[in-house]
Amino acid sequence: MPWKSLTRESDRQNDAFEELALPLFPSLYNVAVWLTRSQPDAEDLVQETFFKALRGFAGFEQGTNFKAWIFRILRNTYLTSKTGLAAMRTVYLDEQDSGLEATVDWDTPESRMVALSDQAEVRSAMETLPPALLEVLLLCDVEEMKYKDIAVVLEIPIGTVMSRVARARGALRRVLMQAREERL
Amino acid sequence: MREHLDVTMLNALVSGELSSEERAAASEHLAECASCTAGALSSAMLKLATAKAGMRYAPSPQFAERIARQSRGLHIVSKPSPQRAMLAWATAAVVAIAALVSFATLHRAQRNEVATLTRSALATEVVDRHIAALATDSPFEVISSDKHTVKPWFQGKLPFSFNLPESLPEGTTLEGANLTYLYGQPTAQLIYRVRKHRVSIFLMSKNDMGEPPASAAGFQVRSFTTDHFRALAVSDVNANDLDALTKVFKEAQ
Repeated sequence: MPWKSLTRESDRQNDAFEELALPLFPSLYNVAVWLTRSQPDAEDLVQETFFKALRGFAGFEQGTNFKAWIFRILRNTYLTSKTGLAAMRTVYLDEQDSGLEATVDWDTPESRMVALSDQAEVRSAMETLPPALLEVLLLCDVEEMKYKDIAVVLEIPIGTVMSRVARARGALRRVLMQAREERL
Repeated sequence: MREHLDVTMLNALVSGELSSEERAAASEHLAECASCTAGALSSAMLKLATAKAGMRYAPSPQFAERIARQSRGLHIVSKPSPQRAMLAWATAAVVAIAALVSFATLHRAQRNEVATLTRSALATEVVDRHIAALATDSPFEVISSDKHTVKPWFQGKLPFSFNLPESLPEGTTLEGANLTYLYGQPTAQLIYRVRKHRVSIFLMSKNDMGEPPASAAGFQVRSFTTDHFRALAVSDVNANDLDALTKVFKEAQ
């Protein structure tokens, strides 16, 4: 009977979705809290992401990167939320290379000490980053996604990912150095 | 490579994003340049520190459970499609053999078959939920044998209210409760213990699904409806004990 084969197909799709999506749940939640800065808002965001992803799973192209696909849904959902709209409205982001140092003098005690900052210092510094820089650090350093997958999530060219990663790490380094100087 | 590595290249190196040629050229430069080597080390350490600091928030077990349930709930909600497909199929069949069989007879048969499937699906679903809840390490969101603790816990979570019986059959105790979802509807799951057996009583908004079969997958299933909700009791306890608990629960409403 046709409906039986449809049932089996639907069950297979749902099983495949759960198998791919549930292991990513902790990562999605972590990024969601960083973006929304609120655990209840993050729960809403993740819940909506799962809802949309399951509904749209039939459109997911098998063989492509599921993690990038579902993180893109998370990000787009965040961007259309009230907090996302407000956050992104205040973001500076000059995609030109002005503001990005060509080289850095690494051979200074300050520069070397920054790399030894403890977790609390790094977390505080991350909290000061604009969302567009924070999200690229989360995807690249925390989620260890490749630049090409980050490009899919953020819907930007890979060259922009490269410069944004450099800009984000530079901004984080500056905040850490500034905090260190203020303590001295 | 004599020129210093620019910041973008250095970061791409640390991220493992350089091609083999670029990596070889960068390595050659690093072997000669202390400043860029310090930069690469510093960036690698910062990346590591960011990775550790960034993995900061973990979802609560309750939220994880809710997401798993939601995925499962959507799974169930999506199941009407076979029934819709069946309706379409049956409708096509009606057209094809309309000359031989009256439409009214077929329509009735089709509706009966759909209703039977729906009732069976309901019984299977509550049995699955009962098993799933008991299979986890901490099956209850609220753990209490006090009905004055359990009932208020559902305030604001359900679109109806219910009563818990003042006295229970001998050997029966209330253990706790969960909020779950059946067919996309918030549903109370009350868990009782009858000697060594557990009983789940599910309370969901009143619907027109009809009475489920009295057993499914070896479990006893009992059902009744009030003006506001449907109750479904599921257990592997003997039929008499389940009937007794269902009776006092129904009388409390």
